[in-house]
Amino acid sequence: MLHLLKLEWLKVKNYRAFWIFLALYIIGLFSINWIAYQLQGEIKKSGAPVNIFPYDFPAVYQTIAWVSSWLLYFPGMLMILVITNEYNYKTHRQNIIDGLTRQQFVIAKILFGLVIALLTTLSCFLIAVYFGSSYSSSFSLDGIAYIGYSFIQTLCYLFVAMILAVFMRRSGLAMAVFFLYGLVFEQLIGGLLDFKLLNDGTVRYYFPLEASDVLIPVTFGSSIVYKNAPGQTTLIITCLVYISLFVFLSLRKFETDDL
Amino acid sequence: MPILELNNITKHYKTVTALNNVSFSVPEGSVYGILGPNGSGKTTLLGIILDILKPSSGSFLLMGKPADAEIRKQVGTLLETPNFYHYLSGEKNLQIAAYIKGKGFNEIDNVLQKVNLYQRKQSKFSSYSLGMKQRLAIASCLLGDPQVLIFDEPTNGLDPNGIAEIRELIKRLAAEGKTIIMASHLLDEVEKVCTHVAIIKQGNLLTAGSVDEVLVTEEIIEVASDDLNKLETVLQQMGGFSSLKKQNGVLQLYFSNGNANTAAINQYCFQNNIALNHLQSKKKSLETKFLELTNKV
Repeated sequence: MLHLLKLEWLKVKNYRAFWIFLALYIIGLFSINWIAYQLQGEIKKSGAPVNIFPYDFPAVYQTIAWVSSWLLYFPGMLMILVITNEYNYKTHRQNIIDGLTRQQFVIAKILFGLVIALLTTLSCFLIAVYFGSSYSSSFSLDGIAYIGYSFIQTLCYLFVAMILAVFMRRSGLAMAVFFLYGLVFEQLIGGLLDFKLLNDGTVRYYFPLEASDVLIPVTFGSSIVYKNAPGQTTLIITCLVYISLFVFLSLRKFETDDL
Repeated sequence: MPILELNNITKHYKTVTALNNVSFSVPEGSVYGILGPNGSGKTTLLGIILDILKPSSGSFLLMGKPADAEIRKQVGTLLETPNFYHYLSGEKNLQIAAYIKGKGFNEIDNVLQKVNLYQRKQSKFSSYSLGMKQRLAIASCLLGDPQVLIFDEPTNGLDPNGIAEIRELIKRLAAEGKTIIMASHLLDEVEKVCTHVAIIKQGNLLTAGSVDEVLVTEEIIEVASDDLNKLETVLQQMGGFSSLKKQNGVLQLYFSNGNANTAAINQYCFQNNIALNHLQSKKKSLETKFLELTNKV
């Protein structure tokens, strides 16, 4: 495990574009929350009768997780980039020639995804603690489960990205499909199934990205947005099934194909 | 024990058969040339040995065992094109290769010096010329001092100096007792360094064996004198050759390998009052042989 992680480390250590991308993403993650946080400050100053402040404990964990979910396409792009790079440079072949097994090659990428997900989740946690502590003097871990959900959600996005990269091999194509699927087609297919075919069904909640999105609803008003949504346990299981499926299919594709 | 043993390797792509029941074996310590025109299946064959491609049927043994990642670590390979991370320096790229092979980084400077790339080791791979990329790939092959080397078109993109250097390197490696498997369409290259050769055309193995066996060639002696007709009569009396052809004002005598003797011909003609104005011994070139073999099918 550690051996394969170190291999990935050697590959990205001096990869400037990767670090710039990652830094911009984490700065973006902080900034987007900072903007919303300023908004909350204005509302507080105006003394409006609001009873939930999304950037106060305990709501802050859910808020940060929800806001961050909008930026998950970026670590997804990073995942696509490092995988399609290998195809592009034919280093996926060279790694095997030099003595990696095909399985090890994919596992290294899976570990890479796990590290990126951990990094994203840790950033979310730190940002949540920072904003939560800024107004309220009392620290609270209530609702921290949402940071855990955020981890699962990140894995869903990263492994959708991975399977697209492994099957399409080209960065441009994989990224275009990733964005179009996540932003348009998943909603479209789910919506068509539920409202045109099944008449108010709940199939849309069982799509890989949507299931993880529903897991972290917006801090208030979730019952309106996600009507009849399945419970959290069901959603978590759905996400884990998809993650396993994508990992399995990526492994199988890479192990059986001509490279 | 043969280093590589191929048993009926077949590979079909969607519409073409890239390899059709290819079997041969590579003895230890040989320099084995795999010869064939472009698109004949050479790279496909090497790709299968290295687990880059899956054979449709057939099997092979590398160093006496079914190939796996551990065996691949002990083989230095350059397949088709130099494959490296464009954004990393030559040195960092070799670190990755050495890491995968389970070798230390302390050999890297040494192999870079062997291919004259040491001065540019800090430069990014993307800034290398084609020849430098090829040298880096060869340097990578040398990591860990492997006993078996597989080169696919090793002199691709190199200038004449580079080609000569690589040729010397291959000879040196062979002299150290290493087994070298080399695919090439450059006959000259194969003729100069190989001990064994296999010839492939359109996925079919035409012939395989030691260079002396496969490339048994006829020797040709060209002679001419002022009166060709008289010369021909005299030579017919002398005999000893397998055939005689008249071409461009000279007579070509074909001898089986080792039977040609220019001095004897010269003497015989002189004794018969013919002064030769042209006497030349020729070997049928590998190129002619290759074209003959590959055009037969």
